[in-house]
Amino acid sequence: MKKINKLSIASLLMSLSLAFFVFINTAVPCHAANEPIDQLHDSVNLIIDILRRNDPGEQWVTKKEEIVKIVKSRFASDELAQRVLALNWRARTGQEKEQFISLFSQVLETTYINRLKSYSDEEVTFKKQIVNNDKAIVYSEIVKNNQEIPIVYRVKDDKGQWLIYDIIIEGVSLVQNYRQQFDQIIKNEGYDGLVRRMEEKIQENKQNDIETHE
Amino acid sequence: MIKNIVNAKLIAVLVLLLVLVSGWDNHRLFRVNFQSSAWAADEMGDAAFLDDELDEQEAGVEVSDPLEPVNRFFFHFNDKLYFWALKPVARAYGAVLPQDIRICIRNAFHNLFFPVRFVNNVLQGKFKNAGIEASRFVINTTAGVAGFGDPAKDVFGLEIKEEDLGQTFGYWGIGNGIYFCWPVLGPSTMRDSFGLFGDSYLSPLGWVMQNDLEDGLALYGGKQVNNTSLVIGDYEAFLQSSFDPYISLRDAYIQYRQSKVKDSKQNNKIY
Repeated sequence: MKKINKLSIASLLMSLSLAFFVFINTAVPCHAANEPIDQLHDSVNLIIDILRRNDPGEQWVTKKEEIVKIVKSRFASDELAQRVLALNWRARTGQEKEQFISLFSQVLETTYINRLKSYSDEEVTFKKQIVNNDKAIVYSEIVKNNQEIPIVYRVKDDKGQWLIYDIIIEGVSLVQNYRQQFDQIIKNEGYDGLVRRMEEKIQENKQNDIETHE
Repeated sequence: MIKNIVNAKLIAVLVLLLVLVSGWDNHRLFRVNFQSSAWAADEMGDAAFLDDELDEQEAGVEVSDPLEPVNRFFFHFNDKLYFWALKPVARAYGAVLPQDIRICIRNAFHNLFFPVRFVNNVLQGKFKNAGIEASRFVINTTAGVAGFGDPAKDVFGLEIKEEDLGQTFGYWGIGNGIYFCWPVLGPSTMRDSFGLFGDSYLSPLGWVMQNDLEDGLALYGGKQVNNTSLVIGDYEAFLQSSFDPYISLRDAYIQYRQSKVKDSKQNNKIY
């Protein structure tokens, strides 16, 4: 009778927002790390510090800008975009590729970053890493409402920096999930339809953001 | 007694049917056997494991969905059910009961489903895990006061060994079959639906339902309301993050179950 319903799946996906940004702050001093697990840990410590910072009068917008900068430097947005489009990537022109990379990172940014506001000291631990040449997998875990949620990062080496190209929450790959949706949209509405839908999504997210601020 | 025999026969027939309909996934079965022997001989290298992981990523998991129009209908039905009934009720309930208590209630329900986890661990030959589940049940039912607390984990470090019949079927090499989105119950596949049906004979909730449907439904509803109250906002966030929530949920379900079945196999290699 144990089964997974719509809601628990939703909760897994929701944790994506946390996966992006939240880890435990073990107060380890920053060091020039070459291991993927350390690099992710360091980036995340920086973000946690920003989230915990309690300067009077500081706006969320200011914090958000700083966080976005850190997150962007840790993501391989071109690799991510390419994997999301998969077979449809080859059919795109150079300009279309550029546009898609930019649109998709905006979609992720506007969807997930504001959820960080509700960060409340959720505990995140890094478990282990497996490295194979220029690719690696980093295992971590977040505890939310007394339940552990495994979060796995796929990273690739880019001149000494390990950049994230997929996040897997409870076995659900972000890239594959978007790929399935985009495949269907391209099939039904064409690539132009997808671009339109992404633009709409970004607008919609920004609108929601404004409304929740008021 | 006779009823039990009839039920057992029914289950046997259904399992047989499931095997025929879904087809044995011979290829995967072979690969697993190969892998487990590799593990038995010597631990597989990290690099090989990573390659495997990366390959899987490229291949992806998909499910056939010939009933998509019907499934979409029930997806929307469930969506409305959440926003019009489940969420308002769970909200009111959450406003009355503190979160700690609701987590305890969730624990207690989870504890009740011990037979499902125990039997499925045994069916997959994971006797150590079955033993861990049995210890968890004994400790949590006594020291944890009818399962409201989880001292088995907090004090003894015994982690939950989640298994259900759908996972067991997957472990045996049975494929997903087609995708279903059931009203109220949500996403499932042919394999997992048979699994759910079989597990209902092992679950206290199923026993209550057989004796008194009304009580059973009330209990089920209570469980859903309690557990939903702990994840309010998650479904909304999920909707916000997706372009086509139906496909996003279908894929998430398939990926999630796939990873559970894979975990099952890896656990087996270790023990």
